Amino acid sequence: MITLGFKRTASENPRPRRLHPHIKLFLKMCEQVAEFMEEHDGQDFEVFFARDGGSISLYLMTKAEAYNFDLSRKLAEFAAHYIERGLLDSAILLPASSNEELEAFFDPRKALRIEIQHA
Amino acid sequence: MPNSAEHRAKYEANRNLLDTGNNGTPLSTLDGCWAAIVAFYAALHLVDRLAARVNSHPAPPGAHSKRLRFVANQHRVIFVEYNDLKVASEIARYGTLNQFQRAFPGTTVQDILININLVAIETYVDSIFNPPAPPATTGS
Repeated sequence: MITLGFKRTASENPRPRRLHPHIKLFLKMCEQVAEFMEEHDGQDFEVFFARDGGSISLYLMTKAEAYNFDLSRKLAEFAAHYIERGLLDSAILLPASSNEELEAFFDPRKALRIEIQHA
Repeated sequence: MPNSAEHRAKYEANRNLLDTGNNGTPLSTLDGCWAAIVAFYAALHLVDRLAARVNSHPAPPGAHSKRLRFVANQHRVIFVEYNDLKVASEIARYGTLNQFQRAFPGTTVQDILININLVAIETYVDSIFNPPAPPATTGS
């Protein structure tokens, strides 16, 4: 599993170099995913990006076993913009799953996990 | 490609199966897992009806993604409900039986996925195809 960590600091440094537009869009989306996670801090979930061919799906796995309709609504509202623009293929809330159960949806070893470190 | 009327017929067949299952018993009481899948496909044919209306026909490969993007782009008001139905059907199809039953226990499939999410999509689609008549004007 690849972990992409975001360290939240009081002030953001300006980016020194120009990035490729697609990388820039993807990193921007990662930052906004990190903000989404911060807004819902304490709800106990993990976030992954999984790639399948040319498409990217966003997975949010909760610690709870029951499907959280309230959180899934927030996730869908958040992701609709990216799905509309073709940056994301889908946004899926998964209740607590074992590694074996996760493998039915994506390969956890190749997924990108978003992590926030509080500075 | 199926036309709007054919998608409507397919939707009705799925809806009928949900309502009457076997000998009039709702499918969700017989098999919640299967009911979640049928509920999603009922919604899918309603979305394909909307797409056919504007001469769009989401087709493989990537038909589900194209459909989801179409809903996000042109019918955002039902995006959340459609996405929940899609995810539930994926958990039903790809997850373990225990995983689905833990995720959607008891009457959740009937009470939320069918009675709230599918009904919201049905109501919306009906309002598109059968918009309320404009108020009658009184002539002088």
